[in-house]
Amino acid sequence: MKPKVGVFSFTSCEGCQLTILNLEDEMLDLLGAIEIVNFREAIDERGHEYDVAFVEGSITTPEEAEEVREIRERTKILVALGACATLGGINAIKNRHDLHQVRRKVYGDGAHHFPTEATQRVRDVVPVEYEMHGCPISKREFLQVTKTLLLGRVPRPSPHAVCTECKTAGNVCLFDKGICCLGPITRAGCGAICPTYGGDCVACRGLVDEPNLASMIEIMKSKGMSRQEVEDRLTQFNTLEPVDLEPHFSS
Amino acid sequence: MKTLVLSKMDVPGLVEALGETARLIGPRKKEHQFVFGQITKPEQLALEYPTTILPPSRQLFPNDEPLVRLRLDDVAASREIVEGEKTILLGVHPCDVQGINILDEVFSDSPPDANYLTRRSQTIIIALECQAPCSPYNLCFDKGTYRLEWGYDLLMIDLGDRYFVFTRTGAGEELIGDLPFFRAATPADREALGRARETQAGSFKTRLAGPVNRLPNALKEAYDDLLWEAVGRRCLSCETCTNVCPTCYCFDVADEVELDLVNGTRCRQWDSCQSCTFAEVAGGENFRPRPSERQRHRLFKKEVYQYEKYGRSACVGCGRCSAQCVASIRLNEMYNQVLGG
Amino acid sequence: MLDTAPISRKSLFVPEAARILDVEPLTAREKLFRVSLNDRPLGHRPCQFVEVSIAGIGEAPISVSSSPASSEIFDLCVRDVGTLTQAMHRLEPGDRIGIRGPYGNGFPVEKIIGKDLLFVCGGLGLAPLRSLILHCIENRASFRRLTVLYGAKRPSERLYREELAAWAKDERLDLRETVDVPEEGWTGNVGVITTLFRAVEVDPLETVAVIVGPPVMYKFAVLELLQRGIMESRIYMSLERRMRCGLGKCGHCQMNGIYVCQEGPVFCYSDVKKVKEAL
Repeated sequence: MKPKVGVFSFTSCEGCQLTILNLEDEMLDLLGAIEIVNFREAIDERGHEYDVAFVEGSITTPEEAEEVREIRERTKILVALGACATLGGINAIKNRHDLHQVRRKVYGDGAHHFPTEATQRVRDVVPVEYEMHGCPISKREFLQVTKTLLLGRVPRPSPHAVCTECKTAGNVCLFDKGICCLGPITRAGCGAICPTYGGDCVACRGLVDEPNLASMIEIMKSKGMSRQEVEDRLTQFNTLEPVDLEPHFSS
Repeated sequence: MKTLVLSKMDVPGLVEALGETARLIGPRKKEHQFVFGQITKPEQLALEYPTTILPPSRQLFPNDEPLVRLRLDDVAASREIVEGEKTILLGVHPCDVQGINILDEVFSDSPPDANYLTRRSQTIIIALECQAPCSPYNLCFDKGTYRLEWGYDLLMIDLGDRYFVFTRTGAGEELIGDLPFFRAATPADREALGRARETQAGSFKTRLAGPVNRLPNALKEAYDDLLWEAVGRRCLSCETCTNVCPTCYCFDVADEVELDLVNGTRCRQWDSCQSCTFAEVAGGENFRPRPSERQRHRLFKKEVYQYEKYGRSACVGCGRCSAQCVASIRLNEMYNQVLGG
Repeated sequence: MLDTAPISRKSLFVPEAARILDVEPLTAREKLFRVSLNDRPLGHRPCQFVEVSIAGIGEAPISVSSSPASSEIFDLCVRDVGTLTQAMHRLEPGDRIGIRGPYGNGFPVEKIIGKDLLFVCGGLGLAPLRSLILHCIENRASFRRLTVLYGAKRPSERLYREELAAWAKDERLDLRETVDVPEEGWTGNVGVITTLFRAVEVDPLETVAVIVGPPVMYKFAVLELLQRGIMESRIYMSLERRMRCGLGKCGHCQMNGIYVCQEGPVFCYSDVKKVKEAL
């Protein structure tokens, strides 16, 4: 019997499930291996029990927290999908501000109709077997993780930094072009797709297990970045991993 | 050994002729830097290059190299994958030739690695001497790797409008064969070679505070120095230094499975002693948990361990690790620090 | 072109097919697998290891736990700590696995003939050491006293419990055990393994000691042995490192300049005492 898979979406741009839908070349093989019983953007039919639930998005309302707990109860394996789900991502930027003001700014006078809470990662609400990082997730990693789960084991995240994949690809280092890139401290797995196309890494896959932030901050400073710029870069996707900049910028 | 001359006008013709006999790999421009890649048209070749991002030895030891064809339903159906095709590495600088020589020695060491050696045995190396150092981090003069004695099939030296060419091996001579681009060197060519070599020797300088043959002992004496702690504080463990090294060969092996969940491939990936999990065992114990220990290991592997095993350094002085380190960790600085500059 | 002797085109990475004949849980986390290669006996020496693989999952180094005398069928004692070992725990008799090896130097049994033998093992260390212990029991006349000190964290984590019970009654050897944390029903010693040394009589000039255990154990055990006057050249140990390829190439198992997978895992203390990353 084919494993039953559900894909669920919370606060996010839903780009990660689009990534799955965009697996045109592999989709038929994928559907040969799994049975998708719930996919918000693809089919309506609702299954009840899942072997694997892919959960995209962050948890930002009490209703979402409730729903993800229910998904957790109904699935054997829960995979958090994408930066919103694994890091809080862009959604967590609001946590740096007064949430009342955030609501008013976004919804104006109707703010009281829209309850919102501080953004949480999926793992802040329920246990998660695997966190598939990225904004959006990488097709390749999605396929690899799915195959690994189908073989009955939970994969391990890459221990390497994005630099490793970037070097392997033979790219010109962005630092050599005067661009500050977070590749040295960001978890690999994306195939260094942004640097390969000339864009700096923004750490959308979260940081490596033991990031040397002190050294990275000094490097960013030496490139002329201000405290605010360093903070903005380091927290763009990683607000929930606070960094103490004080020792580096107190004169 | 033959001494020949190749006019630079004839390089495009040579490239086309070589490309017909083998897969031709040479330096190509990539943005403002250079990489080794396949040359299918003469204009792709950029022989006047300072250095490349990755060394040419990586062509012989590719990342994600398939080793074993797997059947998930039948282990007895595992089949080896040993690949190689006739390849010409063109325009390889002396330090990088030495890098390949070192990998040859490591992979020939018992038990020999069929995957590397099969690929290597079908590879011809056309070396190209450098006229000047390519970066402030080169140690090729100190290391004696700015010139070549062996390890190549053909060696080219730039004489301005032409290349002086030494043949070193039968394979090299055979490759040239009856190609119309080469003529025998004349006394005038030899004189020009002498002048070029003189200019070249004048442009390379000692960069280290002491002789390189003191490095093994100097490093051993510095094993417990605070230097490693200082380096470790800056190191990002991004693995760039080892990935760009011509003589790094550490690897990991992992299985890739196709979506049918029946067929798969066991592949070899580049790995790095700088990775924080490199020396971790399944139980969780990590035998080199600190960046300082890992950086020390990198230098010791180049200058101490391989010296003790093979009687030579495994650093060819190409300068890539220093030039490409985002955290500005410079090998020449560290060497000077232990040599007691 | 590279001038080498004729190159063997045989890849070193292709596993041989082996069949699991029997699976026996030893504790909550360790299982014993009885394995047979399809085409040949394994032909291992004590304390050697094999690379076990499951296609699609990967490889892991596992010590051979059975006597070298009977290697048509050999034992692998596996704790479910890694990707491969967790997958292996789901296998059943009749399933097939891949094997490469045996690898490593193995124990130099010829060097200990006629000696008193003192085996010191902690936790999973009994798995590799069992191959040597069994060899010594089978060739009992070649050795003098045979003492085994075994420390486990808890009684329920002791490996080969039936065999330990048999050894306890066996006059050919003197088995002493301890646990760090007692459980109900445990009447034996409680304390770290070094506490067992105190009760053991040692003839320093005639004793060869062998240590296999978790990394933290070695220093303490060597200290005890040196205090007893045992010669540095007669203290052996089997060291665990990440032996990824088994071929002295991949670099993971390196301990300073030493490839543990080739030059080890068995070392003499006098040889590794100056290897800074060893103990």
